[in-house]
Amino acid sequence: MAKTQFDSIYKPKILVVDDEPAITIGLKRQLSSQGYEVRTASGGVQALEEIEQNSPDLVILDLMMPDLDGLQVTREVRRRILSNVPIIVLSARGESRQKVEALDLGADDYLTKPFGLDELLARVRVALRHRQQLSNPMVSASPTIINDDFLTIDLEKHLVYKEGQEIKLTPKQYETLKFLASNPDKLITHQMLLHHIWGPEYGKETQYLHVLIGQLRQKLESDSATPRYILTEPGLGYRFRLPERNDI
Amino acid sequence: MKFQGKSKKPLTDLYQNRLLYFSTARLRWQGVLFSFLSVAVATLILFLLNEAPYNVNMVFMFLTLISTVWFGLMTGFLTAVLSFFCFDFFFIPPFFTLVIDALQGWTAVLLFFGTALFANQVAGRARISSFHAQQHALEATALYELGTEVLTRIDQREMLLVVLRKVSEILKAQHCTLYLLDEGVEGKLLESAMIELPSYHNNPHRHPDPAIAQTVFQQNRVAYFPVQSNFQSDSSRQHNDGLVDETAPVAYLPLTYGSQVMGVMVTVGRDRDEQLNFSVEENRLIQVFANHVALAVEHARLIRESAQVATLRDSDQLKSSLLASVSHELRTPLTSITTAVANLELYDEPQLGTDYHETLNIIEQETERLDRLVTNLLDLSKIEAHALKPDFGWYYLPEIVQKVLERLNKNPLLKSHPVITTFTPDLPLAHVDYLQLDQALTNLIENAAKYSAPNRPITITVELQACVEVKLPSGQTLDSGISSTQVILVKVLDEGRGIPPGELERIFDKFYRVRTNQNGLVMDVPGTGIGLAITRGIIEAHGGRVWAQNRLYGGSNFTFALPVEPIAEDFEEE
Repeated sequence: MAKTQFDSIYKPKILVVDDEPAITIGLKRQLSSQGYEVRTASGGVQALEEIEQNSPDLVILDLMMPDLDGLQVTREVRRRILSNVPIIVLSARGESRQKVEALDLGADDYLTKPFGLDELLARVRVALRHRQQLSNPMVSASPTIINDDFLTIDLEKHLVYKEGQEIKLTPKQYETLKFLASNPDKLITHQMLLHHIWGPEYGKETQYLHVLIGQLRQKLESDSATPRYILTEPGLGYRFRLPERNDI
Repeated sequence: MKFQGKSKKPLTDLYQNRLLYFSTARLRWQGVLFSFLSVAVATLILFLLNEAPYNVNMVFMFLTLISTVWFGLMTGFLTAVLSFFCFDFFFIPPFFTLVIDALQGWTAVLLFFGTALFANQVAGRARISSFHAQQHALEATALYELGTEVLTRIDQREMLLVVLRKVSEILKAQHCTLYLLDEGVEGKLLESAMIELPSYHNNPHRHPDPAIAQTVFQQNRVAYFPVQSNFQSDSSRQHNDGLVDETAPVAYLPLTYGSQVMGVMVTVGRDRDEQLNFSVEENRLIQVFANHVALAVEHARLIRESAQVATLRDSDQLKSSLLASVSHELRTPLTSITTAVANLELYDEPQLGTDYHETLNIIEQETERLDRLVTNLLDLSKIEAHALKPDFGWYYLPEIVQKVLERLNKNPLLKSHPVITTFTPDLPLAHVDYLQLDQALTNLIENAAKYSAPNRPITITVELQACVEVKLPSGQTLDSGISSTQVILVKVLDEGRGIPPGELERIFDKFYRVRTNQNGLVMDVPGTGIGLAITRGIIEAHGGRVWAQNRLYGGSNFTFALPVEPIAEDFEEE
């Protein structure tokens, strides 16, 4: 069951769920060309069957579907099937409320329609990498030092350096940075951050986060108007990016 | 109807015995007559029968008790006194004098008098308390019935009519009128909402008078008009108006619920001759009923309001879901095209040539343009439907500006313009919807790029200013219409052709487009005229203002101001 990134024969299985055949066919072709094994489902009920029987490595799930919508599928997968398969939800602009709901229910990431191929592949890679970290911590334990030529975060010694200079962070600032940096490129929702830093009774107090992230950016970024490390996902949360490592 | 049938009986029973229950303590002529007659008749009969004094004693005692129970304390007392004298005069020796010689005689007479007075007191008290008990039972029944009416009737007018009918029935009122608050006009009673029972319109009475009702309403004070003083204040008007004298007392009571006055209840009592005003009991009852009517009115208002809220919520939900499904329907084909183009990009075979990729590029860009157009149209319909609800968060505005520029830089339109950005340091976080603000900024920047020649720079500034320092094109400052004392000002400046002065306001109207430049030359810039309308809709939904000005040395200046709201920072950070 536990396959690793070193297994060259193994093709990650991706399930694409959408009621629009044009999109399932298109995505299937694109993802297959990148070496993924792709199956498709045209509705929520079929998607749940697929997930139970074939246990895919990743699900790309449309939110708006006639029989069982993306939210219900997400809920079923997390609560009933008890699978932690990464879920990327597809939403149209204007469906941001459903998007937030899906993420709160346990979806991992999202793509706003219409999206380009690069964006899709980037999200798929991040989600699969995170999946491997979860399923096999021995092989891909998170690194203790995260660095590029500008910023260094030493998770073991709890130290942060900017251009070689040590930066003083408050405990909450450090916790936030650590949480974000140890999940590179993954979407961290407001709720996840609030639960992690302030405790499970928090979840709606996003203004705390905005202030905290603002302070962090002022200390870490060279220009807080164009943040390089901590990126805003409007209305959803934040994403930590290490420019050098992810060659973007 | 059901409740009325039940209530009729106890009411009529009570009022048939009116003689019994009226004038608790006062002497009435019926009582005096009864007193004299009964004592006289009894004395005559007893004298003729030559009864023994102890029998006489008992008969007089009986008469005293009867007159107390029937006519009240005073009549009883009168009977006792009369009996005392008759007893002494006719039955105690020496006869036919008030003189008593034997001690026995004294004992008999005084014993009778003392016992009679005592019995009189006891019977009188019993009578009063039984009267009160009946009164309370009556009120309790009436209130119970009122409560049931209020709860079971849905239609407000019908319910209030039933309540009024009940009130006038119990108070024996000739007439009852309700003036209700005109919800459209502040502090004005609505005459058309007047509910009355029975119709009193053609009667030449002064009451109910809407002007008095209005005064009572405004001062929130009770007004009583006794029978005779009705026209004392302005007797001269009486004849001119052809009004007749009132024969009944009138009460005006404000209907209060909490601190709110909801209307006025006017009660015209029954005709009466012996009393000028309502009795204390009646006053109390009227007040109690007024309270209940106020409750009924409030109840009716709440029912109406909750129905309205439900309707509003339904139509809001309908709008949102309609827009969401239209959005989905329009975007789905766009997504399919984008996905299909991406698939075609995968065929990277040399024999396809550069034309192939160029064509795909065109499809891709035009799809993107169509997507923006759809987004704009949907946003516009949301603004029109008042369904544009910002999803507020705290964001650093320069970050949004940079994100927009980063995205627009891929657009050939903006590529040809150098962009200068200036952000003042230490800007506070703004309370905005990120995507909406992104959209508002995109429209302004695209607009600037569209209406200025290639290579002319576009400047974007974000700064913090006090409202009083911000000058609007009208010459006023920004201190009215904005909820904060400070604003974040975002300016998009171009060096384009400017806007004809007469059109500075109108360019924010939907579908409005500037056709000529400042020199009167016709321009040929493509567009739909919705971008700026959306920007205005978004900024206004954020409680801000947007306006356009021409720059001193050519070009235009689009500015929007967003209120600076205090951020809740109740956690221990620096």
